[in-house]
Amino acid sequence: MTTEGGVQYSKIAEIKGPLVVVDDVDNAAFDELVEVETNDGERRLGKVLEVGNGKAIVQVFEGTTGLSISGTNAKFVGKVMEMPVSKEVLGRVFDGLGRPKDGLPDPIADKFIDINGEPMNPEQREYPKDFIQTGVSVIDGLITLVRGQKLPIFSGSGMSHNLLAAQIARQASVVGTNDDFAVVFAAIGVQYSEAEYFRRSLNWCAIQ
Amino acid sequence: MTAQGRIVWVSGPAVRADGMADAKMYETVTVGNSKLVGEVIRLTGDVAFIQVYESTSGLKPGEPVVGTGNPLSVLLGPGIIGQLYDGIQRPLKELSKASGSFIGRGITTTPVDMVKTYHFVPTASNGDEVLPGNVIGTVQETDLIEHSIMVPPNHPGGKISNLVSEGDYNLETELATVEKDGQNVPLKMYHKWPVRKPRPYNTRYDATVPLLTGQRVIDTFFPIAKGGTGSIPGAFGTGKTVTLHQIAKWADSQVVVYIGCGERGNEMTEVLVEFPHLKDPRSGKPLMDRTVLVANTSNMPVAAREASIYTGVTIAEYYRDMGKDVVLVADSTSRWAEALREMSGRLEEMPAEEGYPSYLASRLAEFYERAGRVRAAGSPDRDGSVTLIGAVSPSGGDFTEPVTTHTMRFIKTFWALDAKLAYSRHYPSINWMNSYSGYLGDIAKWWGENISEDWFGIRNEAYGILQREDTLKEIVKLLGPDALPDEEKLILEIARMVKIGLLQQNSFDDVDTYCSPEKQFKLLKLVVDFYKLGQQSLKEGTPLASIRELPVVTSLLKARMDIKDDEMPKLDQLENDMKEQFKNISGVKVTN
Repeated sequence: MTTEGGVQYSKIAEIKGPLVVVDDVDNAAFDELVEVETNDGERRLGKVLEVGNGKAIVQVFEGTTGLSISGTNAKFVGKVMEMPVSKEVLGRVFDGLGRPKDGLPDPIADKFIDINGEPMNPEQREYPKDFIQTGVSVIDGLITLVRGQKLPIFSGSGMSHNLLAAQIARQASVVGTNDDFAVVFAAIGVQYSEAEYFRRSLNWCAIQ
Repeated sequence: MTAQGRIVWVSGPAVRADGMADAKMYETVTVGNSKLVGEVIRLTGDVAFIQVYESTSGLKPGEPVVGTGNPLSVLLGPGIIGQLYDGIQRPLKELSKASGSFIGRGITTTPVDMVKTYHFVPTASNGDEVLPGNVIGTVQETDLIEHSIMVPPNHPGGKISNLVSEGDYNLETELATVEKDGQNVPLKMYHKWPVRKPRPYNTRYDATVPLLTGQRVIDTFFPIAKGGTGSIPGAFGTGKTVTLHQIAKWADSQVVVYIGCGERGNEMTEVLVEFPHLKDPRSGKPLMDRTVLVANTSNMPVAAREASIYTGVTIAEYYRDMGKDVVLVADSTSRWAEALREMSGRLEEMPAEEGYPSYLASRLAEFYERAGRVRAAGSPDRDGSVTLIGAVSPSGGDFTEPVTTHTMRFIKTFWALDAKLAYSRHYPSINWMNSYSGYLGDIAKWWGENISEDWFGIRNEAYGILQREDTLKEIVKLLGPDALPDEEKLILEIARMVKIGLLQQNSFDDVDTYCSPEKQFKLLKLVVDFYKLGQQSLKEGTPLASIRELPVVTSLLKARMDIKDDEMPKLDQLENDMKEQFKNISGVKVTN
């Protein structure tokens, strides 16, 4: 995530919850990426939720704890949030903002893609029909997963949905085609132990 | 004078612009440097509140906003059929040529091919006085659709001159000039119409003709009339979409408008992939030749979702004005209501129930009131209809939530989908105790005249059996089935036959997917006859077990799949077999 360039503002009007209101803002765009710098030089990322009448409302992704009205700077980067992509991202682990979490440097990017995406044209879709083999007999046999489809796992606390999710991620493959196939695994709001479990289990799979 | 302003505030799809004193309410505007399409929804001083139909990511205050002077309109002319549009009538096929598999922003296209030629056959002649709505000629739009070229309803009318002779013309050709008070107004194959304004008609009729969908539980038990309104609420996984697809496929209308509103993209693809291969049961032509699709899938911008419903219904009214029966299927109106809620929240309006705006009910009423069977404006006399069917997706299957309760006020047919039935693989999972149809009495006459005089009585008898079963089930729950006398056990048995042999319908079975009204009536009559014979037989001392074991029971249950629509004599044969078998077990004399 590059945040070079951009315009810096230091007039913070209000901080509440995860939101920071920046005053006297000129030329900020909706959805624009913002880098918020605290008194002690820490940098956090955020994005513009609302802009107009010289104000911008910024949602800070990493919380507003420790931010103050004076001494906080907000830098409007001039573009929406983008993710660097290339084949290099395969096998890597990133945090929620796309920063490497595995101690390795930033991947070399072929291009940067707007994370908000664009809606897919329904006219251009192919109807899902390719079987994804998960190796879990109840899924493959009865409630088959199909390429291009979504399949939520409904679960409650204390149930082993994470085991199942990791198992599907480890084993999934499209049988009978030579198309490229990749698994993107996003762990959102999970505990440290679970995140470690996912990492270990997917790493283990790669070694096999 | 068109408005030219500047953006002052952006929040998601809501944008405020100043310098817009010349803007009109519901005027279409282009927003920002990338010329996104938007619509003015509130004016305060010279500040206009605009809902933008495309993603506003990267939009900045200070960028220009330019009015177009026109309200949000659709282009109506030949070439609409078979298209897949987004919520503001941009053809998605053309968009994909411009921006690939993903929908880019600020792309302008024409909704139909303006240079394609159609063979125009004039029906009016030079010197005729025409009124708004008059047909001046026809073109063959698809194999199934003869498209009438009408004087637009907002046209002053007058005296025709320079009418072209029969031949091939494109949409931009001036087909005629109409002179009124010294002013010449050209007529082309197309005109534009604002989507939020219902198209005028001459007179409105009562809804007395059933819309035949080929689905037994709908046509026989909870029918909908042409020009009627219906709603199909159901929790997720209950088969709403399959049921709606079945209606879109088999309904006996000339045009189907299918709006995918906030639902999955793959469902639209399914229609696109499947419909060209399916044949219309009446004409044998591909179903796509009578279908228009409007798609605002769940990942497309929310403001255009609000518009998609109006775009669809305006297209439906246009074909109605040609004297065609049109079915409009909207899946799902809940997503549309949620889009209203989202915009209302951004406008900082006072929320009503569950955060929906207080005008939710009146918007739903406005939409459903655009249904109707009418005599179209102008000459020659044409009768057409728009039937509106909306899916509702109440979260958690709770029918007391605002969208369902308000919808129920404005519709007359209610097909309640039931998760329990769906999970026990009873499809279509329309619950026969919670559903209702307000058209039953009105359309009974049609069935009486066209199928059989006995239809209404027999239908009510069959429904009575289901109602009896429902009360008996309570006793069975407490005391077990053995506590019932044989006459009541027979009712349970017959109810089972009604459920398996009539109510259930396999939409993936080649024969069962569509059931003609004649076959529906015959199957219904066979089951009711079986009940009467069974009752008589019991009275004469035959044990219930022998009735249950009759081979005809299985044949009756399988008749819906085994006997094709054109094999009606086989059903007569089945009737004879049934009577014969009853005679054998009890010597019951058949009186009929």
